[in-house]
Amino acid sequence: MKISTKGRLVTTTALATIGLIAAMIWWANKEVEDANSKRRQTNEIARGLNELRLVTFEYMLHRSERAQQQEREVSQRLAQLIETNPFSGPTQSEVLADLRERSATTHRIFEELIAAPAADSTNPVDNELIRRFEAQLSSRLLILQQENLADAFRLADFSTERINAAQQRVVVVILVGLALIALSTGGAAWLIDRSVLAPIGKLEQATREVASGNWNYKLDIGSEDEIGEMSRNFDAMTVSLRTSFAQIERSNQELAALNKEIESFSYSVSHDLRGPLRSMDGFSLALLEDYGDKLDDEARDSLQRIRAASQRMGRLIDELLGLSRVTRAELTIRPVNLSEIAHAISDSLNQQQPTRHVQWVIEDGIIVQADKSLMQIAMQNLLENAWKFTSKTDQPVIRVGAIKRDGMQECFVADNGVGFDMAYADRLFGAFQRLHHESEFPGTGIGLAIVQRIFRRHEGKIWAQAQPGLGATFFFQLKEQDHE
Amino acid sequence: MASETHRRVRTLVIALGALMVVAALALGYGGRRGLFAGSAAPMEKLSIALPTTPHAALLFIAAAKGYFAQEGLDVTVTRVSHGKAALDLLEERKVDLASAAEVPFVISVLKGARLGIAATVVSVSTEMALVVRRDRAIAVPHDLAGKRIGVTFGTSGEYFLWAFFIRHKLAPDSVTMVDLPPGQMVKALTQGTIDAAATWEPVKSEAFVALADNALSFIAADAYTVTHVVIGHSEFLNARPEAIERLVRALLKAEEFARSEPKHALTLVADQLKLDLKVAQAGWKDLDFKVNLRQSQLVTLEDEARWAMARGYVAKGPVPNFLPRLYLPALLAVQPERMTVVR
Repeated sequence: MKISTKGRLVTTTALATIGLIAAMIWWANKEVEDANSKRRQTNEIARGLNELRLVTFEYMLHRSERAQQQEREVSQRLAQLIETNPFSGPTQSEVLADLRERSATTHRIFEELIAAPAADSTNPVDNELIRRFEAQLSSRLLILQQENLADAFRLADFSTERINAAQQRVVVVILVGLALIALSTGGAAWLIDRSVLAPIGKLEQATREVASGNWNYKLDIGSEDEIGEMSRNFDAMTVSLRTSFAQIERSNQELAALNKEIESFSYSVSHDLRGPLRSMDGFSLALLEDYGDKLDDEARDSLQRIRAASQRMGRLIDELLGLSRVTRAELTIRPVNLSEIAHAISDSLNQQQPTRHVQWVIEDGIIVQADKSLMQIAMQNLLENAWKFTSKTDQPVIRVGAIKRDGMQECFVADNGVGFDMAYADRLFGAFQRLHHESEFPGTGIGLAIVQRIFRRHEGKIWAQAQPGLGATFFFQLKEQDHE
Repeated sequence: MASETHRRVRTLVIALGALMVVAALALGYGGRRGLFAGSAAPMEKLSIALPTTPHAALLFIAAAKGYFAQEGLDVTVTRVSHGKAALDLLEERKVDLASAAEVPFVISVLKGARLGIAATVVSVSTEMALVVRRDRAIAVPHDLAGKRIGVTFGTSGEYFLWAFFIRHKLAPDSVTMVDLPPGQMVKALTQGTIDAAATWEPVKSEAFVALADNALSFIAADAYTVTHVVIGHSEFLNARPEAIERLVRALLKAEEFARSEPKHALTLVADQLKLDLKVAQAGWKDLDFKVNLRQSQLVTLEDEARWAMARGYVAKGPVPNFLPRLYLPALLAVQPERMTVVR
């Protein structure tokens, strides 16, 4: 059964019990009201009977007309009071019937007593008979009125018993209701413990096991409810994660193998390829120096071309090794002052080509969280590019600065050089990609690839905005580091 | 965290369990009071002398239905013809208790017997009657003057006759009273040795059957209500309060049976008394079976005492106090509302 269904069942039971208690209390209250009404009526009857007894005694003592009249009035009122039967129980009805009969007899005997001749006969036998007759009637009146009063009290007792019974029933119903509510609450608590808390405890244990690396842990809660479903999903998830992690592990191993191959390749490039290149350059130089005078101009030009090509290839190899190092270098993140780096590079460039007059606009205090040596390489490439591509500009300006955009710091290197067509911007950061011919602006075409890789290593990004003839601006953004 | 929650839930469950136990105990309390009443004590022996008349119906029912045994009483019943005979056995100490009308009880008390009434078992106003022979020119009560009337002396029959005469303003010595035991009453009537008989059921019905159309009866409902009671020696009643309480409980069960199943009760009583069902049925509905002790009984007992002295059963003197002769504790313990005696 679903937990939600169990919950609804428990709630319904509790609500039904409360409803039952309310109905029983309402019913008992009606009973009490009805019984109270009957008790009031019974008290009226008892009061009437008491008054009847009083006037009967008064008549017996003084034989007064007033007592006779009062007896008749009370008898009449009493007869009206007991005429209708408000009771439903057979015993009460029986008592009331006895009361009616005895009341009628009492009044009849009282009338006989009034009608009895006075004991003033001269015959003593007659006097004795009359005296005995009156004594007998008086005794009967006394007995009947006592019985009537006792019965009136019995009727009152019935009403009281009914009230007591109703009150006791309410107590019993409340106790039973409380027991039922306690039972359903206990049942709910037990259900929650068994169906929710215990499985959640297992789930918690399972998450701890998985977090500690035990990917083979199986939760396996066999219930058919929501938590059972969640358990099955959890187990499916761990199976899926196990498979994914195995694949990642394999990929990592393959990656490590590839890295080793790259290392090996780099070694080969740096050592195996450099040797022949140096030989080509060296022997070409030796030919020029030793036999230059024996060679014609064309031969010497060819040798010069061989030397230039081999030197260029050497630089290409150096650039490739640089790219490789950038990829593999360990990062040491700390605050780096880009402004200082830019000033140092600009000074170096100015010294290298003192004939050029480039206007450097470098904003002070540009601080980023990064690896200083890699940022040195990135800024070197960006500023050398700007230097190079403003070589044909009349009044070259190179700017280094930072702006805030959407709360993030963006740094830039801008120049007013030749610029480029943004249609080719996607090729800009590819290795060996060039937007200008080498004869126009010399270079290997690997510098921006290195720059982009450096920013990727920092989880940052770089992008460019340019227009042909108006210059180019390279923006870069670095991931904000947490300050601890 | 999870284990803490588990612990709290278990504590809650235990607390709720405890609440339910308390509720169950509270619910059971009311039932237990009735459950254990009178069931564990050993059986008490009692011997009772009962008249073979419907007036002792409740006692016969209690015996036949096993109510005495249910209440832990081992009752031995001795059957006699009428209440006075049962009282005689009691006075001879042959039985522990007897069932009889109040009149023989009053006479015995006046004679010095220290008896007590444990409970009333039946009252009846219209059963006691004068059965007369029409052929003796008796049509109205005043025609009885000078006639011979059979009556069992010292019984409620004699007191009824006395009350009947007063009710009709007749001098008791205007007739001749013939002392006859109940068993000879019908024969005397049919043979004509008496003109009328003051008697009760089942003799009354038997007389009617015997006289057929020649029978006529007079009653005096307003003059006398016969009350039959269970009587014991006061010292016995005081010494065996537990037994008397059980007896009262058994009688109350019998009363409830007679009320709820009157036909079954009548059949059972007729069978017990070896009476023809029709004879037993006559007057059955007039019998008011109620186990109680009433204040009004004291008035009747005192009237009967005055009559007994007037009739010469004992020497004239002050009417004795009958209040100590009513044994109240049993009824007070079992159903106090049945006891209306002023204390």
